[in-house]
Amino acid sequence: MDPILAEVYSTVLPAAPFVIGAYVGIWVALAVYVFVLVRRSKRTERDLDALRQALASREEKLEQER
Amino acid sequence: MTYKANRCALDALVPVALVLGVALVIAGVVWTFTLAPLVQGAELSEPVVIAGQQVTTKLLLSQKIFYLHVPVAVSSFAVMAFAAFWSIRLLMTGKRMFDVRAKTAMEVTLVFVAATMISGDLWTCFEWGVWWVWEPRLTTYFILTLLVIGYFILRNAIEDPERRARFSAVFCIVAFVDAPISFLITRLVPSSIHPVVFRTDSGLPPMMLIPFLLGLFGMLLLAFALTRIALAINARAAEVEELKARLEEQDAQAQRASAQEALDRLRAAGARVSTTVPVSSSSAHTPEGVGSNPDSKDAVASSDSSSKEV
Repeated sequence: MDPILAEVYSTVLPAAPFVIGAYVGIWVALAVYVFVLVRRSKRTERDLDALRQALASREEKLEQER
Repeated sequence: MTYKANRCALDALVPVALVLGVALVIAGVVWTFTLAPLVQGAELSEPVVIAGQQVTTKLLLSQKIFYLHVPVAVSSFAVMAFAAFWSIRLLMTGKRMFDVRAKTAMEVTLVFVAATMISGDLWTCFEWGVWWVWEPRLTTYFILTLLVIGYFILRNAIEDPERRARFSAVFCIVAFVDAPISFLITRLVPSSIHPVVFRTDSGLPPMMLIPFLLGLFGMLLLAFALTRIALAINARAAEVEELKARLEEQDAQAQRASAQEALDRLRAAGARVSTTVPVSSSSAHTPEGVGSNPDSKDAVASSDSSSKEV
């Protein structure tokens, strides 16, 4: 490679891993939060189902007592 | 338009904001790496002609980090402003929904703060040769990061929901004071070595300004969409937790009521026994004294049978 061109691009290639890392890091941070939200949403749904079941069994028990 | 209608209208915008935000950011990134020119660095030993253009300086790829780093940082300030606003609303109205909102906004702020720190540190490491420099912008933003983390530590440390909401709201408002300081510090302290991107004389050519603005608006839309989605999930989770607590309280109340009923029956049985069986000691007249009186074996048997019925 032409030494002048090598000098022109001397900071380009060494910077590439840092630039890629920065872009990937930003998307990973956002993706991790989305993952946490999805998990939380699923857990809430599970809890909601459990509460519905508990409520149904409680109502059933009350009916039997009457 | 009512508050509920406003909320529904905002929620209806979420999918559009999400898709548009992602599209704008992707368009910005593609533009950044294809059409936006590389910025010029140090002087070359001698000029060179590349693609018909005379180049006299080294070309810097690391500057491309700023096209997304700055939008992410601005988004963190914007979302934190909402967190502070909702915290003020909580203190004004005392409504718990503002606590959920402020907490959600702080969560999103934490994500954007983390993204800003990651991208900023990688730029710092390459350009300045060190992972960290205690210069004004980095220091104030680091303090902001610690305050956002501290907000969640505080929340976890307080059990009572009312106190937690109030204390966290005050902490959030105080923490937000650092956001404008961090934003303006590069202008307030001239010796700061951190580059100033937002300025009227930045001289960004259109080919660099457009991808930057695409990234900025895209990230702001993404932050809005994320906050609304997280808010819906957190509000639901909070409702479930509240329902659970109420059910548990109901169970506890029912248990207390049945225990009280059993105790009343026991007392009544004790009183009946004490009136029918002659006793020498006055302690036998009290239900507590039934078991302690050696002369009242029948009473013990009677109370035992009563408790078994219970």
